[in-house]
Amino acid sequence: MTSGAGLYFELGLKHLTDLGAYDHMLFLLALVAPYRLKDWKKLIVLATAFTLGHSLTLALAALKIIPVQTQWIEFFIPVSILISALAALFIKPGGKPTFHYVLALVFGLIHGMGFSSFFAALLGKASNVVSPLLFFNLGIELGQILVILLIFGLYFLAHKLFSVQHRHWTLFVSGAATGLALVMSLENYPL
Amino acid sequence: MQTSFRKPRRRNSWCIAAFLGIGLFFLALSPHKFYVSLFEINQGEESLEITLKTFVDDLEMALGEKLEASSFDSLHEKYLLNHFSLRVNGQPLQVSFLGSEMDENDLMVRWTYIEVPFRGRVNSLEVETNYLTDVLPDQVNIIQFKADSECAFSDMLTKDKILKKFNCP
Repeated sequence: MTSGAGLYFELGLKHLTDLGAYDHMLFLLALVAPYRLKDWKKLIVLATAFTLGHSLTLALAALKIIPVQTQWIEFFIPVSILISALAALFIKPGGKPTFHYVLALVFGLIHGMGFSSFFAALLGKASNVVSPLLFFNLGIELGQILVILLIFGLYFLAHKLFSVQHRHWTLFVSGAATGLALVMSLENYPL
Repeated sequence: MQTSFRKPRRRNSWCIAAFLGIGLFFLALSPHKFYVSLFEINQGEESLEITLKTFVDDLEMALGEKLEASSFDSLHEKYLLNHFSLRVNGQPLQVSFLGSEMDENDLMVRWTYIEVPFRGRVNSLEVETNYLTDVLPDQVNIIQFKADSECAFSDMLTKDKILKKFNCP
């Protein structure tokens, strides 16, 4: 892609799916861990709540309306993964997960500030902010959808090929996310 | 042998768990930081004016030494001239280093000003750079080029792609 908009779209997509900065993917893994394929309507609401949260703070930070303390955000992101991973153990996929939607929205606000520090690095001296911001955010959205599809693809394979039970899957991925997020939180504690 | 036939499912689950676990462990070892610099190239009346955005810590890693305000420009100029070149309409052009300043908000960001004397119409622009990618394998160099409203392009160069040719319509 050679147009400016396409470049920022690609950068947004790459940022979310970057294996070198997998924290947002790990968050999505922990967030969707309690759900089954048939809970797809709840997943859409959940992903939309996260999107609303991160789009809002990304835009406000990019437009310099809110300040971002990068080192605290780099700490709160793994903490949000840790809490989501622990919450996944208590969420019943058949129930009404209103609390989980609120959690996704609130943690979206934190991740959006994380996106904004990367986005700020991509802007030039005289760059127009609005169009790059829009396309960068759209790239993040596509990345988020792809990551969720990949997670459910893996779950589907584990379930169909190896008869992994849903509860075991939830326990395993939230356990893995808890461990990683705990280490990341301790490493990123800013004081 | 008997037992492995009796409980194949459980075994497979353990294998998957082990693979996922090992995969996640390697992911955890990956660095978190991102490596970006940005070349904004705008055509002025008598030259192509280039503003380069650099993260100072990345440049220090590339040069292998701590940069002081006093020595920054001379060391950076030497490195830049060896790692960045332009061809306009097929002709290589002289790149001259003007100077640099610190970002108002971000202490790690340095803006460097470069000029390439050129008059006339840009039909094609070739940018070749391994700026920081020679030492930082994840480094991405964003190139934004604007001649006029008709001709504006951007792209990114990496370790594996160090040359880009833009053609104006």
